[in-house]
Amino acid sequence: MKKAKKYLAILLILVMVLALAACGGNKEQPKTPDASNGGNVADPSTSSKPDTSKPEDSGPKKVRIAVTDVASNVSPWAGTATGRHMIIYNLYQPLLERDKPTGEIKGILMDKYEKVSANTYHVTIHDNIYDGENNHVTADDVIFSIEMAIKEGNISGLKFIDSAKKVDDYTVEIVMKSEMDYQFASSVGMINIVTKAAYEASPDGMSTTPVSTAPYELTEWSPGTSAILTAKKDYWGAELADPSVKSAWHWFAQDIDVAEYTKISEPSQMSIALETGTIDIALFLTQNEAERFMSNPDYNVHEIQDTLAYNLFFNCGDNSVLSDKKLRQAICYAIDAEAVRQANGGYGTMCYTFGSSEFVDNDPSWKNEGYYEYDRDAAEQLVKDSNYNGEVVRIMVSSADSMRTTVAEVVQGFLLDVGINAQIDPYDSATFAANKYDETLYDIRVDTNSFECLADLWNQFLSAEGHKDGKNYGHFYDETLQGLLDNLTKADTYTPENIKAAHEYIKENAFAYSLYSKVNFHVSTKFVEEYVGTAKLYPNVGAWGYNFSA
Amino acid sequence: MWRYVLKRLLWMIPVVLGVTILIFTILYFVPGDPAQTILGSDATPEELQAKREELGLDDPYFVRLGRYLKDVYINFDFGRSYISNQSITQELMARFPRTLALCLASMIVAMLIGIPLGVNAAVHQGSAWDTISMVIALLGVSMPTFWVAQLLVMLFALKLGWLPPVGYQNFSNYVLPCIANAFNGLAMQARQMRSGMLEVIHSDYITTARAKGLSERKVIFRHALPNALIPVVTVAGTTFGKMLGSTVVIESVFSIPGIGGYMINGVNARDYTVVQACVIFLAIFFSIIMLLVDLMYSAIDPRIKAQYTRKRGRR
Amino acid sequence: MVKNVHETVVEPTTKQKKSSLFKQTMKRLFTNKGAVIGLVVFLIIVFLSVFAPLIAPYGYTDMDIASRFAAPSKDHLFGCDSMGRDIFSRILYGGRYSLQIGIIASGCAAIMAVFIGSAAGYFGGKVDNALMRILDVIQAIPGMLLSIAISAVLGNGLYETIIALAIGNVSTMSRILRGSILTVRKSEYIDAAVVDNSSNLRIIRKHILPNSISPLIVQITMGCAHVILVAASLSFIGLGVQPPEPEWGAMLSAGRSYIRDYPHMTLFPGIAIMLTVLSLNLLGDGLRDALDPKQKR
Repeated sequence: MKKAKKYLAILLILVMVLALAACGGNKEQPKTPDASNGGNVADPSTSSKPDTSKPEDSGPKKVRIAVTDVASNVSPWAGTATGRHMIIYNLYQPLLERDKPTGEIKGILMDKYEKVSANTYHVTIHDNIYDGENNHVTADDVIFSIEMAIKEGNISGLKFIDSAKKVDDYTVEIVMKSEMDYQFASSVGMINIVTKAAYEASPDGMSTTPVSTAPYELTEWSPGTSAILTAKKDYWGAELADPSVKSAWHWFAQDIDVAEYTKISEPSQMSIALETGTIDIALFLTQNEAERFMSNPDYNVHEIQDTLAYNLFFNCGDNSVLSDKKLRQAICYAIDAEAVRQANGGYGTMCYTFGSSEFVDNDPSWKNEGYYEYDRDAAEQLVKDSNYNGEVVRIMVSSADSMRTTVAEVVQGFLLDVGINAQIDPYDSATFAANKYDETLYDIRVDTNSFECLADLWNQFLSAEGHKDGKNYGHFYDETLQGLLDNLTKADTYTPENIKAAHEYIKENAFAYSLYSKVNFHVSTKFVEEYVGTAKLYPNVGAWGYNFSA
Repeated sequence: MWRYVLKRLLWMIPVVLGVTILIFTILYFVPGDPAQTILGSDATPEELQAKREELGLDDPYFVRLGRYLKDVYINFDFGRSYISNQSITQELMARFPRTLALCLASMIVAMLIGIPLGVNAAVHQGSAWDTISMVIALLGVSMPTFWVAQLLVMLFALKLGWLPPVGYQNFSNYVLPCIANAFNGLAMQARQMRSGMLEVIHSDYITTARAKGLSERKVIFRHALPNALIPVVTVAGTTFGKMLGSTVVIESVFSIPGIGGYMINGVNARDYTVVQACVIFLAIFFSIIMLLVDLMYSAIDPRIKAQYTRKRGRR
Repeated sequence: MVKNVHETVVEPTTKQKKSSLFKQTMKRLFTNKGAVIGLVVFLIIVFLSVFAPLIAPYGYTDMDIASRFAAPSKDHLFGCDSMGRDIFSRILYGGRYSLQIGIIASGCAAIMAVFIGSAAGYFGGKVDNALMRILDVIQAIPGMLLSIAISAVLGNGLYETIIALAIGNVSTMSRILRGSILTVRKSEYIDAAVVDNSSNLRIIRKHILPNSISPLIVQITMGCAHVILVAASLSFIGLGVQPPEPEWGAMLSAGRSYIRDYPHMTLFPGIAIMLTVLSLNLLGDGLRDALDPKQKR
């Protein structure tokens, strides 16, 4: 007895010591001198009373943010990933950004630009830009950053940039391979600018310590888990953080001193954390969880309309039964897009062409001409007229996102209803990304895609230009279609008439079918009154509207 | 005895190497292309090829395996994550204490609940108490971990507001995850305790103790329990392995940045250098735990000790 | 290494004796309340799943957007899910998936274990050593993690998941079988058979396996339960069987984001898993007690 007791006691003590050391020893408090609010994000005493968790006037003002993922890479020119989007726009600045719904190009580091020929732009930056190490940013740094971004090859959209060279100390000439302004804006807008001096001084290519022109710096970071951003002192761009001075003012705002990001992957846990006062705002919450807060006066629900649309990409190649136009049309008629939207909570705007109706080159009148309105009889008739004989129609979907799987499931239901033998093949997000263009694996792919405008989206998916096998991502080549799309890649033929012609051809042939564009939900306590994001709708935490007395 | 310890220690080396090779080989066949993951879905084949070459993904299997073994066991370096470009070793070290604390504390909770249940079942063998105790013990292990975890959060964090729903900074953060994880191992402890106890209760010396007129209570707690506790140690290792496995789920639900959560990040991003490192790291850790359990067991149990002495004599 | 079981192994040599042993075991099993309850519940679940198409009031893909999230009622016994599908029907059909996963995966593991375990236990020596060392390596990886790794390679899907889970269980089962074969191997009647010039295969099949298989049977029961649970965890992680398949774990995992507003979406699949696993565990415990010669008194 004694012996066993002794062993148990020793084991117990050992574990206690270990547990205490483990929990207490690491990450005690953030480095910020914030004793009042402390690092005890989840202290039970504060968790029962949300009000005590607000930053007090004395210390630095802090916002605690829950995100579905935190950046696992903060180097300047890494590839895009959800977690990176959450913090990166407060850590780096590009030259400019393009507002999707209006098409307007807004300068960030760029003061102004001039289009000197069909595909050449002169970009002039502000002459008073300094990075975190107080290096002065000049045209050389801009060129260095552009060349490095292209050389690292992690951002696939940069293929449209041909070259960049110096005009004077603050002006760079950028030559594009495309004539389209949106291509220029989207490509250049993806490149973060850093100084050559700071980059070369960094021992690890800034993969842990970004030094940039942005208003915040990374003070603590655990890749993929948590991050703390702190406002820089004596920030060079402080005066630009004023809507009356600059259209892209939100890239400069420092309205909060400290932003603390925590990854919470389960949506239900996110809203519980919000309700128990563990966090101040939950970003990109699912619609279902967001609804809980909509009628609650203690919370703000920020609804942001996105240009991301739920699309059905049809495999029109010879491998698929969907090479039959009638069957594709039948599918479009068989689906009640409104019901699909309702199944996901009923948010977002409907689509009336292939692509979101939120884009600048979308014609609002298309809404009136009808876009495969739900018509079960027409669908059944078309199925009969087609060569379809009960083959399995495979719907490929990424299982990572419940809204996409819902879309797939409702679509499957509608197809089964008209006698199309639909089957869902879920893939995890990585496998999905790797296999989404494999024509042997799917007939219909449910996907959301972010592009600059309709012309951009159509060209990416339906143009065979630059494809080795001469076929587009719908796995076919159609000469008429190619001609219509080529028109949209040149400045002088990018006209409403040509857009309309392409729209009608794509619609008639049902190469792809769009359902609706989604809405993003961010839910906060009364502390955060307004959500402000970049043109791509990702958070610009310094620019949010805060109510410090809440 | 010492020879046994030494032998067990030396045997760790091939096991750990074997684990490394096995996991490397399994994940070698993982579908999906890290280059694609890094570049996103719109990358051209040329861009992909360049990236693949840069990452050394085109080298033959044995070259890559050799390089990996050398990195891990000679340079103590698990490489860098494809996605974050961070040192995996550093990340593992930063995360390990949390996973360790979670597992050990869960173990204690499982024992504190499982052992009394097992004793109760054995003492009342065949009666309703026996069944009830075992059902209670089994209930925990019968529910999927993430469901239990969610239910616990809803009760203790949301309804009662006693404990925080997510986080890892404080002691209180670990209470719910530990309970949820302990449910997994509880049944094994109770089961082993019950059968160990039954064996002891029916043995001669307990009969003798009873015959001497000792109270039943005294017989059970003084004489039977200490001996019956010994075999519980043997399942401690297996229980621990189970809990290591379920930390993957627990850490994800409670947003604890431990190794399990790291592994899930890796699985989702197809960052298989990370998955590989996590599995290998946890397997090494698990082997060490098993070794400790074995040694502890042979130290406590006189029968086993005698067996080794005998074995040595024979050789 | 826990128990020294050898002393009390009684060796039946004739068919009659074996069947009487079987009868005895069954008799002991049926005096164990827990085991009886477990067996009955499990059989009911199997019955319901097998006859799902006859019992289920709706098809498992039948959607009715109007009754999304409908609470349990007379029309929908267990309510409806986010797609307006009848949860009761889905659980009945889902049983086919979950039970298949449990039974096939533990069955496959057992078959592999029979080969590995009997080779190791019967031949002993170098064969045993080699096989056991390989199992040492596999066993050093916690089963769940091994299943995750394999499942990441094979991808989502029913049979892929079954394979991943089966491999995760082979080493435990092989060890158990080997242990019990080692005990039987020492018996005189095996020596007699060897002297008799019977072929190895015949000895293993006729004499060794029938007398050493019982711990494996217990383990298959328990393993089946364990596999169903791990499958659910895999669904949660995003591996394994994924929604919209009505596999219980996948249903539970799909419903988890609605747990607060529509708890019935997780409650019923959760209970289905719980009942199955619980009944299998009770049955396994009962079998173990019934087969353990020490409990005979």
